[in-house]
Amino acid sequence: MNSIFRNPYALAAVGLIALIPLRPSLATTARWQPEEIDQTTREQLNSSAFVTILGEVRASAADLMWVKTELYLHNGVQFKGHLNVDELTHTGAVAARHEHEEHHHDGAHEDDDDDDCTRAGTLIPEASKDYRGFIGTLQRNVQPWQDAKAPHVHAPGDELLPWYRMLTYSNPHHWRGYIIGTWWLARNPSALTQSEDFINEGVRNNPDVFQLHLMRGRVLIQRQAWTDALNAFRRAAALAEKIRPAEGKVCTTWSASDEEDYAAALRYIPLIELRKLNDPAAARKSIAAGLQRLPDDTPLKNLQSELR
Amino acid sequence: MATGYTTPLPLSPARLRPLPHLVRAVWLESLRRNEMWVLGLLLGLYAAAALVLRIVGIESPQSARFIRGLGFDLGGLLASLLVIVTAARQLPVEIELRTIYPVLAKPVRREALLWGKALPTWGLGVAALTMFCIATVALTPTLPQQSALVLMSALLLKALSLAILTAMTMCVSLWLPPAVTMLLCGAIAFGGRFAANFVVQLCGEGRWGNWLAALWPDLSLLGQFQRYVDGGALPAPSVLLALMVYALVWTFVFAMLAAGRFRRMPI
Repeated sequence: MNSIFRNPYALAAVGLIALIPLRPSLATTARWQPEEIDQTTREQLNSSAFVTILGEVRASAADLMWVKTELYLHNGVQFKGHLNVDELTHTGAVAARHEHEEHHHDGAHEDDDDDDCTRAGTLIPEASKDYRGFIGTLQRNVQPWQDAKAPHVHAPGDELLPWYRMLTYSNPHHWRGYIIGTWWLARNPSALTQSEDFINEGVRNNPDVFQLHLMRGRVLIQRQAWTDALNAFRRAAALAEKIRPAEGKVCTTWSASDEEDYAAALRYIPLIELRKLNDPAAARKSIAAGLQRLPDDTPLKNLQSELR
Repeated sequence: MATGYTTPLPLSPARLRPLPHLVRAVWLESLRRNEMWVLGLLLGLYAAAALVLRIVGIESPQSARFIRGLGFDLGGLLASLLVIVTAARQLPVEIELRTIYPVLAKPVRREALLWGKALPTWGLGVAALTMFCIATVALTPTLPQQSALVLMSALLLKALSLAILTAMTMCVSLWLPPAVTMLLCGAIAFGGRFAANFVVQLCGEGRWGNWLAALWPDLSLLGQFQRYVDGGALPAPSVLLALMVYALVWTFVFAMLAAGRFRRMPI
């Protein structure tokens, strides 16, 4: 026995054996918030300063990937900055930098994208505007470039999908990534299940973003799940109403694009009730409720006249 | 087989007599090195940034919590790095430069040399941590829910965590070259928990997984500054005691492994 206490290795072994019963009792030391608080509060509370800093890095990585998707969309041709950075910073709205026109980059606004990019011009200038002469010609030949007058061509969305996957892994609160990723997936009829999974994930990570519910409803329409789609649009409209300012006036927290999406949600509800669920009474009620909020909405008025 | 020679206990007082001289030597050496000044510079940078924020005005409790948390995290991280870098070079460098011969010829026993190197290394880490904590507390606003008692317990546990790190680094440095020791100990200190979780998942959460988790030095258990920053309550006395015992046992294990290795090590 005495020799054990004189042998350091034996003493170390005794120490290791003593650790085995001790370790399980320490399992709860890392948790100090009460169990009843919700996940969001828990995340806000239990985030060390380093985690916060790394979280910012992660979000920035997602933003860089978002920019990358535009490069892929245009087959590698780099266009000059055409987004309203001020608006993006203050409201998060992805709007084009035009003083009196609203152009938005969403899955549902692809045509606007053509206009914005073409107007902005390519980063490598065309020959007539390039003072560099031979060097400019060389750059236009070795780098992806297209003449501003050439038809605006977009790459197939398949190439963008990995970026949307990666950026939403990097920042699960990047809801625009979920929306546009779903939009590209839903264009392919064989990937409808994947698009539904993707948008469901987005809704799970951002339950209060009404645009995600709207997109989910659109995917469910494609899957002909009418009741679920109806519920998704109702949820989208209800969430939008919580943040929509009076009469839907554009402000720092509500963009024209948000108003457009809100109107779309209100229009889908009576359309499904009337055309797919054969419930004109419910459709009438929904139209009336919709017109109460958007009195000048032409599609809703047309639907009302159709029902008379 | 009786040899007539009895090995004294590893921690007997006779072996620890030259300790103050060794501690002083390490302290003087550390002052000549650059790490202390780098640490001072980083502390100064943090203090300047915190001071500017304090003057400009910290508007929300979240910001106050963030800045205070950053100070403690930075202090813990830099103290750990200082301990790893200092401890990994203590004995290998002495052996490589052959300056260990005159020290051992004093005569200073090998265990005493080991303790004489480890204790000031740990002390340096604790001093660095304390300096950061004092600067953080002095320069950032305290929130009502942040308790001084929780801070003291967190500081104590972090100091014990540095003791494990010192013993572990000294122990590993007797087997591996300094650079490899630094990398390995850094990986265990900062990513040990992930590695342990990974191993437990590979082995399943049954008996083997739990045993492996128990036999892995999890320094993150002793990192309780976030509890203080978040305004958490003081851990139950039994838990606090268990954490202290956990730290002391791991320190003891590594110290004994180092003593066993160094006693028989050909120099």
